Amino acid sequence: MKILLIIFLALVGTLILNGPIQSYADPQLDALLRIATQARDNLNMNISQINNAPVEITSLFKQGSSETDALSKAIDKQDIVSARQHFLSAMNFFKATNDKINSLNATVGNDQQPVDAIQLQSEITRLEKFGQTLRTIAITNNINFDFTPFDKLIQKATQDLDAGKITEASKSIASANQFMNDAHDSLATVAKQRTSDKTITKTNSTSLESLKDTTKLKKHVS
Amino acid sequence: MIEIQEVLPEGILFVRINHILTTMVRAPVVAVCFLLLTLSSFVQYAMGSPKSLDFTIYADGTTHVLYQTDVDSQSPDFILNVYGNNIENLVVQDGNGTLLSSKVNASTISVATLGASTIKVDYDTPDLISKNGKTWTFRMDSPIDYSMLLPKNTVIVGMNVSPLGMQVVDDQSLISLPSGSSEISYVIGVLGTSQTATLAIQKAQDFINTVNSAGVKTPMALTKLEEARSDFNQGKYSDAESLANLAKNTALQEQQSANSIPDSSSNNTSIYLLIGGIIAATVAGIIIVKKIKSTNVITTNEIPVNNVSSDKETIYKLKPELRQDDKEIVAFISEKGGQVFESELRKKFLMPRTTMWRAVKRLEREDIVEIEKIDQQNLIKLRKTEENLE
Repeated sequence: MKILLIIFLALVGTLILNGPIQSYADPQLDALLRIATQARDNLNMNISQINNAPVEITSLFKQGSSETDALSKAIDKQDIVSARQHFLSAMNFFKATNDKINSLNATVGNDQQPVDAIQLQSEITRLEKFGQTLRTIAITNNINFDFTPFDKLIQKATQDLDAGKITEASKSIASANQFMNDAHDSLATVAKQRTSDKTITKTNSTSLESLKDTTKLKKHVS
Repeated sequence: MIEIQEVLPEGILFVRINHILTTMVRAPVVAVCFLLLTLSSFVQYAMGSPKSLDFTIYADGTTHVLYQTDVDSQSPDFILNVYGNNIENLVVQDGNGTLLSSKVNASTISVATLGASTIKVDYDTPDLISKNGKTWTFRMDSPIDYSMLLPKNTVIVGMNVSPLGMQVVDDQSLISLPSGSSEISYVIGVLGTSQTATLAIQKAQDFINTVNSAGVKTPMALTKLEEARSDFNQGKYSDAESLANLAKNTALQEQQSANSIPDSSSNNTSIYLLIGGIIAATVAGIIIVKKIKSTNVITTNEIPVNNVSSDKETIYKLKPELRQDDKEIVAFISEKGGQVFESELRKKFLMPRTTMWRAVKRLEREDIVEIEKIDQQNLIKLRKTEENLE
């Protein structure tokens, strides 16, 4: 009995301790180094492209770079606390460096065409995801809904975008967007209707049960 | 424990329970254990509750929010706060994937749960990200840990929290972040992407064309540009971008040297002085190198000189079936003079220890490298190319 009790207590102890330990697991140190190194490489390239980069920028970058080196050393020693500090410090310097570079480039205009293209591409991706969600809902709930027009619109928008036809792509995306909104409304209406039907059926069955009970009671009394 | 006494003449069965006191004493212990178990499961449920919050960020700065939470199935409505003021493409489902009716108020969504115990909310919002110059900044104050999927070709340039983890999914960085306030700045279309490489090649080409049209020949710059194009075609966008920038700089140097030729022809003395200076510098350099070599003492941490051939091109020719990542390792070792410590390789390629070790062993099996133990570190050396011929 004593052995059983000890085993039981040990089991309970393990169960209690298991959860919190998992929640406070160490961060992935490699991820910290990867993020800091990528930031350093990117900023280094940006600075190299600036003619006569201001000392302030190079100084901030150097500090960030040396913090990244310190981060790497801390990771080698598996010193988590120090690694985190160096990571945050490095990213702080890199952010400041990047802000300074931004302020330098503030006057330089960007090409509008790629920005539009990126925005439209993002909209297409979003609509595809939205479409996929609604498609799954329709299948799950056995609702017949034809998504073919939507697929065609997305296909056309992608082709137009690839061909550089921004205006045409925008029109197709707008139509696809409208189609999805209508699809959402239709699916919501059907779902609402079915839920109401279920509720009514439930209410009716409950009323029927209570009616039966009342009848029984009346018979009993008489 | 239970003893049956002899049947009494009246026919009454008498049952006596022994050890009743012992059992009564142990009962509270068992009860406490059950209580602890219940509490522990409660604590685990609270800490690892199925609530989740995921953000997918698009290249145009819009964020897709996916929020999953438990709701009280007895309550007809559930109200949740939304992230952002403007929301689009809102979809609310229950655990079975049934579309739920919802209403958006100022900063909340009211969901008619209809007996659901869990709900899943999807929507898009442009309000979580701001842009300054080329830098995008994502700000969030989350009550729970959350994940963030960044667009392709993104580099984080600022972060005020330590991430819980990071992995790359389909060329996109998926970052796990802790609860609380956080701010992450990133840039898109940066070093090493096809976009920037194309841009750099185009710029270099335009500059070279301009220089050539002025009657100045730029053979070295054109060679670099060709190398950049070759790397671009192989998908090495980072190298391609660097080479394209180098081509531009080379073209600039060639232009400057071409412009300085007429002046130098008029004054031959300066050429003689320059040549004399170069010769003197070379002689001095040789003497210094010889002196250093004669007094050089290899310390324990120094890498010994590798006398093997480190011609990566020959290795590529001999081993055409070599994997791309292995080729990059070979190229790096070659650039480092034919030998590097394994730790250097890990730092350079940001690979886990085991992955790098497998790669090195693969190269060893191919007779491309040999592994030598120095001070408990692995020194990876390129083998002689003649050895590879075998």
